[in-house]
Amino acid sequence: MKDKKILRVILIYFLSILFAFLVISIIVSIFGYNVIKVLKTLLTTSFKTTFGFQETIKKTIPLIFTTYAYTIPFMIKFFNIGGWGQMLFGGTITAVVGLTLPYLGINFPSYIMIPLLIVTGILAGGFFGLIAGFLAAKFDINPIISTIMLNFVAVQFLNFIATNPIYRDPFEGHPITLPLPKSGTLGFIYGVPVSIIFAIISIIFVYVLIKKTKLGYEITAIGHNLDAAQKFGINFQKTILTTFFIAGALAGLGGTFEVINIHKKLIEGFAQTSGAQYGIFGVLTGLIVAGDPVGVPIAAFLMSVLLVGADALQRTMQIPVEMVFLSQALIVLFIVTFRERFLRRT
Amino acid sequence: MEFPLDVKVKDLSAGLKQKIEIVRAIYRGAKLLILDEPTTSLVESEFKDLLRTLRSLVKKGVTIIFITHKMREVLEACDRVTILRRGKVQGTLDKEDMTTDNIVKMMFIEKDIKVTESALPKVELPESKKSPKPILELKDVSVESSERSVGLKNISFELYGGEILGVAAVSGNGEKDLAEIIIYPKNLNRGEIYVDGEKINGLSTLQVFSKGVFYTPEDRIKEGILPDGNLKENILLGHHSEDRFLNNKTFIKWDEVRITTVDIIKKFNVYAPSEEIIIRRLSGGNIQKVIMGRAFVNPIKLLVTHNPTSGLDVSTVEFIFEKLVETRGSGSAVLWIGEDLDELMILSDRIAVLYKGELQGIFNRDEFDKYKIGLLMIGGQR
Repeated sequence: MKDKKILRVILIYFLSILFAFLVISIIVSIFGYNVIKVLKTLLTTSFKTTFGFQETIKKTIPLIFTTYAYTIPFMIKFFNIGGWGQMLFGGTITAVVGLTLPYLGINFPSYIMIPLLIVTGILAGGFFGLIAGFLAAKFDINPIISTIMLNFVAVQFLNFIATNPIYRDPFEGHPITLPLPKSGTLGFIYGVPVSIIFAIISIIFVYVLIKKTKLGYEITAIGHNLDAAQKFGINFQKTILTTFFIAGALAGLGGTFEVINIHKKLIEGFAQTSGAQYGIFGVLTGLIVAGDPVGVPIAAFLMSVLLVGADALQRTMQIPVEMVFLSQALIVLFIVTFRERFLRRT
Repeated sequence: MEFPLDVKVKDLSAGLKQKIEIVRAIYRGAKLLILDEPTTSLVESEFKDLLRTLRSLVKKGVTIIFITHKMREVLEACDRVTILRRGKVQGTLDKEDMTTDNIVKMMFIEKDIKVTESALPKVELPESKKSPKPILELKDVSVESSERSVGLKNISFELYGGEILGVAAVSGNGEKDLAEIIIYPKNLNRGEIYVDGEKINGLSTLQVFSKGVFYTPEDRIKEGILPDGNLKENILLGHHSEDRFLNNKTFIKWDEVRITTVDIIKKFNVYAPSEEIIIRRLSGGNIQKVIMGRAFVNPIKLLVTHNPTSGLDVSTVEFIFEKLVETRGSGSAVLWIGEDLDELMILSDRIAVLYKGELQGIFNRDEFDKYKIGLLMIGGQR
């Protein structure tokens, strides 16, 4: 019975993507582009060249973090739209710590600096997530509202830091800070960011947390039936706080790696890809996995394949990147609709 | 029938909601009325009321299909009965052939179940030894009334080991608050509750459970289970903080949970292909057995059980009855909150009547009088 269900799930996802691409093909051909070429570029760029694959991994890493940020609160039926802000805040505070220490004349070796910055990102992001969690647990304020508002706070905070005389790079016109000290940055192996290691650790961490620990059980139980969970001694308020902390912490950690591994300084829009925030793509990807943390890495990778394909489309065929946002939206819509129609209540 | 006209329906008790349904159907002037278990939340006198109404409707030419699992209702309410078993029609009996015997035979072909006059399983209540000290003691416990419930007013009683105390109440008379304040006495500030001599005021549910208390809630689907979880996850609920199921207080020993689950499936005759099955796929009776089984994962001193048999078929009811008697026999105390007086009278050592959050009296077995107790349940004078 279980095998049958898995087959069905695969079929549904396959059909959703097929339908989405069908609609995309129609739209693309209306605009007069070569449909076959468009689809080929979109789907194969990641796998044709080493560079394409490296780019894909580079996008997958932050996407994994922001997708978790959406998915974990979603397990207890809360919508965290704030992965964006949590990522920005985590990255910004990381940069503040990374830049303030040398400014004060403190120079740690990298084996102290890197863990310090990672912990900073986790705590800062976690704190930012916790604000929304606290508002929800204590005052019953819907996190959709609070997290969207907090996103703007994070954007402004980033600008404030990046234009601050202490941190700002005086030769840049944009809000960009001075580079981080070398001891506070990570490099690349075979063109892949070293942060991949931490992404993998996070995947294992989330899996163990959800499937093997008491906290994971409490989160699952609340997701299944809040009334029963509460009746049998699971503290809802506490679980809201912990899920939002974990969500924010992971997004914040993702922000840290964007800052210390990719840009090596704080840049306005450091958490963007193809012109949109990783936080927003995290929500999209989260909608696809629908609260199942196990699916997050795979979905994040597939989303990145599309993003890399989209960049290529823009470069080689001058197709606006919005076309790809459209296709991603279509895929999500089809999957959500098909799943609702064919998988629920069976 | 009495309705609070200014309260939103969603805040009313299950019993009142049921009554509104029936009144609405009648008011609309239906020609064919299909009533699916209409009496679940009604007491004796209300049932008689309903019956009178239905009779007068029938006289006016309305056809009524009355779906029920309570045989007595069939015998009293119906002109003809069709018996369904596992989705198949077993036969139709006319009024003159309608006897308890005939119906039971058609309902349970393979089993030989003894039933009482009110068509409930006949379970003997053997002599048992009462513990010298009360297992559960409530002293002047009060709970504020709210829009949702009438609360509790100065409730005091003692419940001993080896005893089943039935609490008879029509749904919405504070019986839910009573169960909840015992398993969640965190916010109790008026009165005291003792479990085995220890005051439990201010404790959380899990702390109360750790004192040897467990609970089966009123609404088995909405409050009792994780519908999309498997049996292991459902058995663990409420035990998820116990050292026996945790490594380093953090990691769940799923193997241990599995062993316990398999054990309960066996002991409680749960009809399930495996412990991995999603509980939602089981029948109501089997779900209730899982919920019951969960209460016996550890040896317990006190079982608080709320409507454990509602909506179940006779053979499952019999099983649950036997479990309650067994629990009593082992020296534990059972607080059985229910609204079916027939059931409570079969198994309770004493019956306490709750009406509008107030205790109307506690009766010993030799004082059981269905009419008298039923009247108290709906606010009649003693």
